[in-house]
Formats: sequence, structure tokens, C-alpha cells
Amino acid sequence: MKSLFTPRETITFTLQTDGTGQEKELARPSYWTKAKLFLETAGPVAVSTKQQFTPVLSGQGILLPTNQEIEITLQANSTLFYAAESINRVKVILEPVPWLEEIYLRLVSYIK
Amino acid sequence: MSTAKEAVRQGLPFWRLFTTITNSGDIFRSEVSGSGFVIGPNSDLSSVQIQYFDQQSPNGSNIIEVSTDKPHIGRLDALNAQKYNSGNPGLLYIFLNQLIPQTGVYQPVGFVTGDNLVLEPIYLDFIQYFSPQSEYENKRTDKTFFYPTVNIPALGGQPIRSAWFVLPYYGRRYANVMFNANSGNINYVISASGVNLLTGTSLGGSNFHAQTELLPPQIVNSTTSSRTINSNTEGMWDLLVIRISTDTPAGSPLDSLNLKVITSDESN
Repeated sequence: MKSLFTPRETITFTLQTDGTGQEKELARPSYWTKAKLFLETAGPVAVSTKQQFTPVLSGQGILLPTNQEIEITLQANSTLFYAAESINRVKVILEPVPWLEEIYLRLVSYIK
Repeated sequence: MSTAKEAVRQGLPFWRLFTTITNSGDIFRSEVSGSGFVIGPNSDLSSVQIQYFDQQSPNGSNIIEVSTDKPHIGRLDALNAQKYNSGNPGLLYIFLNQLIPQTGVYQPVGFVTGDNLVLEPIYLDFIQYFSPQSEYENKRTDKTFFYPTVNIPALGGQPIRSAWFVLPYYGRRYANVMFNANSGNINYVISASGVNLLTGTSLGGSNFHAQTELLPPQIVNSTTSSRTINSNTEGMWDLLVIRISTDTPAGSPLDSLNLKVITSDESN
């Protein structure tokens, strides 16, 4: 079984969107991760685990609310995309979730 | 000049556009969406208009006015990747809806060649908030214009030469005009007018603006005097024009004359 509870780093950064309206990769962790997103500007910024969800205001992605943190749990090796049509500032915290990874791996192992 | 884009990069909670206005056609743009739009505390102009991208509007755009009486609270999107029908990017465009006296062009009614003209610069102070605020301050501060020494051109009999002071008064409701003449021998004549700028010209082709006398000519010598202009009785104007003249014979020395004007948004 894979070694569990491996120390992982929490990654924090500020994302400055460029307003092109195109989908771009925000995170692709190789382990289970909680992505905490906090939009500091008015938006609109949309995120999705699907690669195609634009236009931003089409309703296919999730629109980030201003001044309110949202949390998305990402499966290992999945990708979180974002798109924005204006200049924005988003605080991003990528926090590993080792216990979730353990449960998942144990479950997979059990099923096999 | 500051940009909204740079304000976001710097982590600021708002973008402040504080600039002199040289032309009534000046347009400013923001690549950033906003949650609140107000006229800033140091603005001479009392309102602006914002054009924004609106897919539900027949022509794809809409306009909203922001003034000292009415800020806009709510999100307006700058959609950089979209285009207006005109082909311009779907940004927020901030433009003026008040006229500006052009330097070198504007002259008050009664101005004659040889008079002195002080045309105060016009400032726009506009604030765009990036996120909702608990409170939006939308009040202009009082503004003081102070001239410690009024310069009246060399005298030469008739016509009487004057010094003119053209002050921004957009949306203001009150002015206190104070002057102090340190002379017992020289008579100064001081008057004030309100001007609403117009785009048309008179039949002669010269600039023609609505200029109305608010304070009739008053003779001042060796006194300090203070007079008020109130929107309740004198109305509202784009500009306040103060005229100071003297009928002192040529060659006589002039004494110092101070002029101080305070303008306010409060009528009392």
C-alpha cells in the first residue's frame, strides 16, 4: 500500500486573472487536495473541473463570490480550471488532505 | 495616470481616478469590474457616466450615471474579451456629462483684452470599489480657493481693467466669498456671477454661455467683507466667476487685496 500521511506542503498564492476569457489551469495536484478560493475583486471569475465551460457567464462553471471563501475538494490528478473576462485577484490555498487520500486508497484496496 | 488594472495588481481595494480634465470629451477606461462607484472627495465635477457591457440591451451596452447625489452600488462588469457593437473592447468607460471651460478659449462675458484671467483647473475624483463595502462615502469635501495677492493689470483709464477668477462650482450649493482690501484710498469693485456652460455659439460665432450675476458689484476699500451664495436662492451653476475691478487712475499704486472663496455641497 502507498505510504500514507506523507507530509505535503500547503501551497498559497495570489492569482491575477488576465481577462482573456479562456480556460486556464489553476491546479493539478497529484494528491487529494482542498482548494480554497477567495475572490477579492468583483469578478466575474468562474472555475470548473471541466475543461470547457466558457463563456464565463454561461453558467457552466461556478462563479466565485466576492469576499467569500469557497472550498473545492480535488481528487488526486484531477485538474481545476478557471476563466475570467476581466482583471481580478484571487487568493488560492491548496491544502493536502492526507486522511481523505487514505480513506480513498483503503477503499480502493478493499474493493480490489 | 493610475489604472484600475494596476490597482488590482497592487492589492488595493479600490481604484481612484484623480486627474485634471482638459477636455469635455475625455474618456477613461477600466479593465476591472466594480462593486461600487462613487464621486471622490476632491472632485470638482459632480457626476460622470459609465458605459458598461449589457447583453440584454438591444445595442449591447448601457449607461449609468454616478453623481454626488447618487453613487452606483452594485456590480458592473468589465468584459475584456467581449466587444461592443462599435468594436471597442467591453470594458467600463467613464466619461463626462458636464462641460469644461477650455483653457485659451473660454472667456467670461465682460472680459476684455488686457484683463487678467485665472482659470482654475478642473479635477475629477472618481472611485471604483472592487468589492462590496459596508459604507460608501460619497461626499465631497469643501474646497477653498485663496489668492493672497490679487493682480489687477496696469491701469489706463477706460475701460476699467479687471481680474477674473473662474472657479469650478459643479453641483455645489454654497459659496462664501471673502475679500480684504488694505487701503483707504482705492476703491475695488467686486462682483460674482454663475455660469452654465453651453455647447452652442452665438450668431457671431463666439462662445456663448449662460452667465448670470449672483452678487451685484460692491465697492470695497479698507474693509473685510464676506458674502454668500446659496443654491436655494441663486441656483446651481457649472462655474463661479468673481470679477475684481478698480477705477483708480493710471499710475497710482495698488494696495494688496486678498480673495478667499469656500465652496461646499451643503447649502447651510
